[in-house]
Amino acid sequence: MGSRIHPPDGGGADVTEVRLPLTREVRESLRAGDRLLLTGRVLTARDQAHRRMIEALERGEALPVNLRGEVVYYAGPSPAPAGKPAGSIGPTTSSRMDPYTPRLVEEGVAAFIGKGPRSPEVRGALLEKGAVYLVGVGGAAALLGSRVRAMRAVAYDDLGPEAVYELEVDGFPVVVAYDLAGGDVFSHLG
Amino acid sequence: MRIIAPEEITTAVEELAVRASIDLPGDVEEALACAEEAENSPLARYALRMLVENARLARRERLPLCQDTGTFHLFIDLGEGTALPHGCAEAADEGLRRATAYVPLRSSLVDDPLFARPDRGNNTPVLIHAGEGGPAGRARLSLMAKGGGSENAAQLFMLLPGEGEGGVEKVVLEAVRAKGAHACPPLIVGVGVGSDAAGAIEMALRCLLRTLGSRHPRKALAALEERLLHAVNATGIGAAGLGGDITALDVHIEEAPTHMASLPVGVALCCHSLRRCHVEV
Repeated sequence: MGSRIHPPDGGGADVTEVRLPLTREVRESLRAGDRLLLTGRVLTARDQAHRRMIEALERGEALPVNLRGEVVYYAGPSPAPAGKPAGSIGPTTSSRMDPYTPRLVEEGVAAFIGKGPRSPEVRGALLEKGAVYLVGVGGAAALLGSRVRAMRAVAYDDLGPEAVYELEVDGFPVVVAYDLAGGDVFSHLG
Repeated sequence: MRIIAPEEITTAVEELAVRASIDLPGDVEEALACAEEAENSPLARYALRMLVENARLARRERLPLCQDTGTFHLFIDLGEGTALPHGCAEAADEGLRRATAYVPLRSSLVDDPLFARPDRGNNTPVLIHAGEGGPAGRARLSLMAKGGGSENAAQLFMLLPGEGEGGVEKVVLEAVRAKGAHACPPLIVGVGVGSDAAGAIEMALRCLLRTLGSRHPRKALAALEERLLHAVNATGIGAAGLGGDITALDVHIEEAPTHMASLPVGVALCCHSLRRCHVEV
């Protein structure tokens, strides 16, 4: 796993730099509330892409992108302005993807990035299969977009912002929400 | 009677949509900075710090504050002696099409909501709310861009007339507890009391135009705003739902006459990215 460094914001707590993919060993070491800076490949998918992926799986077809070991980011980017690799790209509300998530966990997704708490079914599926849930700060989209080095559509590109994009991120800040020891950063919500 | 030219509306909407999308209003940015100072939870403080940095970066780099560039609402307050032209809605839509291409903004609106949901490509239509009260001989145009995540947290409660302010407090907290963590806190809470079902929701939305920190001119409502703000912050949801002292930047209430059988209460939760600006034409 990456090195412990001091955060750029002087917030006091440590931030861990993590290189993707997130191996099982790294996932086991994460704890709810840990702050991470991710570097490597993540794949975006939100409402419509989820609907299509689940429909494909129900028909017995393969997914257009192999999700095994990947990080799925619930996001729909704004277009890249001229001369920039990406536009603004923050997380969207995860709970809308709850009905689809247990099935994608079965496809071997290592981690999901979104915002806000999830259903008990999703928590159970994540724990059972050893996947973690990470959250970005919703609305910090210009900042998060500035940590994207490259972006290209890899599936369902007719969906525009709802297509599946492959992002190369560099120092992308997230917080561990659900860890593999049962820890939950949202436990105060009851 | 002066009829505002359609071109004036197009130009104003284009300029307002660009500005609202990339330039967080001063009162909102200041409220976020104050929240960061006041917050005791390190994780929530980390989130607030990121939001203040995000506002600076978006302004400097001319990037959308949020990838969800929102649904656009145009509030038109006509002054004495002014009127809207025929084709006002199309003129406003043209302004938004230009802003969408210019920034560029994400296209977030789809057709056919029940079935295919194809993207419309340009964020139109602008939702227009026309009223009076602008300066004489002119019109005040206020534009607000509202994200889908926080729009999903809006709620309408049809209370019994006798439930009074205790009932309002109960349902506002119910709305915040149910959906607040999903709506990108710290929130701005708008509460519309009275009118009818549609009117209560409309007032809740209009509350979001008020300057943060301002209080209702009626003392009883000003006191209720303060009490609700305190109660919402006491939920402990915190910035980004990570737990903390600051769950809302402010709570605003508006009221209107209502039917003797009714006490409609509309609750709008807006994310911290309260994007609004105005101009006079």
